[in-house]
Amino acid sequence: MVRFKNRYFVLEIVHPLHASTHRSVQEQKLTSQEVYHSLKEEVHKSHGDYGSAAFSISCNVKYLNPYTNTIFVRIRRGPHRFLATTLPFIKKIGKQDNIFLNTLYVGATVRNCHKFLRNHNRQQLAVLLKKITHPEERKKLQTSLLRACVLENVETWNTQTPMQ
Amino acid sequence: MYERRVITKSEFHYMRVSLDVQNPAKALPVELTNVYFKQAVTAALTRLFGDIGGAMVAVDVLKYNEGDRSAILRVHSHNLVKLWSALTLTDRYMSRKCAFRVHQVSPYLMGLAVNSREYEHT
Repeated sequence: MVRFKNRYFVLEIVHPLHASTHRSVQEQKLTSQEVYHSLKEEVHKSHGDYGSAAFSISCNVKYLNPYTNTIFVRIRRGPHRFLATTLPFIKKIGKQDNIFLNTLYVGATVRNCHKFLRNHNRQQLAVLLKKITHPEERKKLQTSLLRACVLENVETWNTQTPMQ
Repeated sequence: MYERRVITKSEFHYMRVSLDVQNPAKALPVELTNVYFKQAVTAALTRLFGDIGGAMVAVDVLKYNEGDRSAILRVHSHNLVKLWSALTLTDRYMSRKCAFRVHQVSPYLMGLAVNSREYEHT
């Protein structure tokens, strides 16, 4: 039985020039169309008409997070080689120049990619918390974390007198 | 007891090709020497398979005949399909319309020595 297999690439756009400073949202947010076209152009350069045709048939940009610059790209299992060998050569996406694409994870299912990204983001939060030195920004991050976990009132809950 | 073993697997494939240009009487902008012929072949490969894909196919021009622009090419057997398809899909050489004609293909160089198509019966 011949199976229909895919490969999901979890990519991160890294701006080497901005890496040390606090990451902020770009003025023009990234769109999946821009990502798709930049990838396709680069695959055309590296793998010619054959590569770009195989790529355009089977490739989709599945998920895009403009805040963390994370992208999920889905491509069929044969042509995934074309994408994989082209990723190191990508220097610009849309308006963002001088970037470097970091391949975080390559999975066969979107579910595993999601699991990976969830764990990766948890670790990144810890790293980010350590990096932020300004006390007000720390407070902001902590409150937004608590709000996300719906634990805003946990302090008051803990100080209530225990039931007799 | 005897055992018959036939080994047909050859590392290379050899092709006899020629480059047909439109209006052969009209001079080409650059005369097709052996170097330019090889460049035409590798340009065909990079056009179809890109910088990386075309570079992965190693083609050698073993013999080149400048008169009728024919050559013997050598390529690894697993790259034969790529080379042949790239030659088939070329349509121009330096802004002149052209076509690669494939006369013979064989896994052995000796196989190109005779050609029943072009054999002239006396």
